[in-house]
Amino acid sequence: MAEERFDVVVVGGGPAGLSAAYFLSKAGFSVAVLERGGRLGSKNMFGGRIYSHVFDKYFPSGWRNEAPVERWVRRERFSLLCKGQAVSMEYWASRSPGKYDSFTAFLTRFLEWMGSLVESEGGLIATGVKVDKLKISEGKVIGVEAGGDELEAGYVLIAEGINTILLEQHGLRPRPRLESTAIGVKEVIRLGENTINKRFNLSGGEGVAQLFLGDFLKNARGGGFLYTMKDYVTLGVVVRLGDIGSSEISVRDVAEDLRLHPFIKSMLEGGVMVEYSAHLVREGGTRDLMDKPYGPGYMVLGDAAGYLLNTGFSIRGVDLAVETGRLAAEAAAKCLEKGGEPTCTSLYGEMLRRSIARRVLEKYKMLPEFMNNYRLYAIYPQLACSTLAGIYTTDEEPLKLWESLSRARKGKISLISMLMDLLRGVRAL
Amino acid sequence: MRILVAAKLSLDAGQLKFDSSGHPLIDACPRRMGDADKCAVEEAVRAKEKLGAETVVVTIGGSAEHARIIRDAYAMGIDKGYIVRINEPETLSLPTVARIIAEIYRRTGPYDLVFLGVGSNDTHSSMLAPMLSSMLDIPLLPSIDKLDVKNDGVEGIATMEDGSYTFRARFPAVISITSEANEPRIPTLRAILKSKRIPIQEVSPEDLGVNVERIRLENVERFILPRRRILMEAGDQSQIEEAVGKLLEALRSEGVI
Repeated sequence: MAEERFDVVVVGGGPAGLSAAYFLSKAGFSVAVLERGGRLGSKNMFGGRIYSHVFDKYFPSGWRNEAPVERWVRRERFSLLCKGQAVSMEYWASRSPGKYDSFTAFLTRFLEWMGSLVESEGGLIATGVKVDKLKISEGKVIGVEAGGDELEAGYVLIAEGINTILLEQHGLRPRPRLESTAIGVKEVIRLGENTINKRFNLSGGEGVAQLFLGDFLKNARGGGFLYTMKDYVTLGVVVRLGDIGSSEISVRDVAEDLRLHPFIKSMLEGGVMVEYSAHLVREGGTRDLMDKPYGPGYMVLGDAAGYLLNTGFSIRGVDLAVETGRLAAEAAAKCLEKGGEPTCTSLYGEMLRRSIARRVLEKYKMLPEFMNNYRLYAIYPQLACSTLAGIYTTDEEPLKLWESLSRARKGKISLISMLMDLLRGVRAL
Repeated sequence: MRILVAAKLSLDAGQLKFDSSGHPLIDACPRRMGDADKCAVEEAVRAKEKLGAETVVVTIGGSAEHARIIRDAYAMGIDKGYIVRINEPETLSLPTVARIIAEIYRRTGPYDLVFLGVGSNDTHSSMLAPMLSSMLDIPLLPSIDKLDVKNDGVEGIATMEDGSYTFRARFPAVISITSEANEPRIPTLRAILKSKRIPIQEVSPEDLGVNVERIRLENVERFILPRRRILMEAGDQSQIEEAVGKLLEALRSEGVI
């Protein structure tokens, strides 16, 4: 049917796909977003935090009032957990309203909002549609096939997320490497707004983002996270698949141990778990980026192209996805105006190479290797706990810092290894 | 032929969770079109495919989620949809809901058939269809598992505890459909895209001249039947008599028999 042709078909209704659809439909192009889940966001998962900058730059100025923001992140915390001990660091800065760097949100609600922007600009969103394959003619992607129906398009934007089923099926991207893939598990716990405000020392719609390392990881590489929503807290862990598959460790136990650590248990007392979910996470940094996230008639966006960054202090996915979506939309718009040549998609590759998203990932190029170091997850948290325990435990003869550190590291790690790790860390971060 | 279907946004009961004291976490539960309502939509579309009909869906509620129900029905093949804009539809009294649907029937009719799910996923009172049939003074085919729509009338089979009942009626009639009646179709891509382009008619209770009555839900609790386990052991054949005797005694003392 000739009428079923769109300027652009987007595969995947996540942050990347919806932002591309938003910018394209705003520019007057006909767009259809095909989402496999029954609702936007029902197939994806994230910890809970989104960085604001991309929305400030490219979205209508009222977005801060309109988007379904749960809390604006004011407190950044980082905690090392040991048996019966915890060492925490907190960054706090006074900020005027409307200037927060990041916020917490439920992705389903947030994507629903993004979807409403797309629809208000005339874009179409179809949920419950699984794209079976790309429609290819003479080596060019000219549309998609879903459930026996075909849909033709000037360009197909593939924003299918980390499970790159479509790309793999067409041999456009290999299965992600085990070493660069992790599994995330998340619990949503209802605590109530007042309890959260009291326990986390929050007010005025502000929230906390907290990351954890320590013995709950059971020698697996990964980390824990906690974000405050308005009435809920999300708590979870991300652990390397390679460390899980080859050992007795179960990711469920890791998540459970984090929740039951006395330092966290008291924060969540009386809470009710209302949701439990799990999802794959990409952890490969630049090594996981697609060399060529485009080809005749198609472009690859967001997580599917490898745009996710975990620096250990912050985890960025949604903002990078939105950025790639915006660039793909701009490239597609330019190409369509020039007549819609399938090979014009190289423009997207060019724009992506020069993009902030790419620059940020390049900046942390050394990081994945640094973060491969098992010592970061097991030995150093223990070292920090023992050292501080030595300093803060005051009896007749307290320990000096150096004394305490020396005692703590004895038999665990050499001074040389520590210095080497420190150097690597400085270079990587 | 014209067919009206009423559909309700209700809790996705399979995803309902409870806190430790047994209270359901209703706010955290996703919502969707009720299972039986979906089967009612499916029956309407099947009747349309068989005999040719204009199919119309109506739902009550003010949010975007309610509009989604209409879109879902469009994607399955319904032709036209009305959304009755009213906040907090879950607090409407049942007669109010029936009056609203009756007014839609009168004002946008005439209709040959009215399809409803036998009950919604959450309240499941099964009262709406009988109430509507008495308000409109037309026959009711209740709890239908198997439906046959013909040119001059309709025949439905309802499976009850004491056997199956066959109901026959001429048009117009109200029919409540169970979730066993059929397997609702999964819309195709083309149907979903088409559904996005069909407009939704909006009406308010004032447009319909319906007086809105509200009720308040005081409390919802999980109903748990306390269970007791009594074990009677019979190691070999010879002890069975004795164990049965003990079992009967226990059942008598518990007041079961």
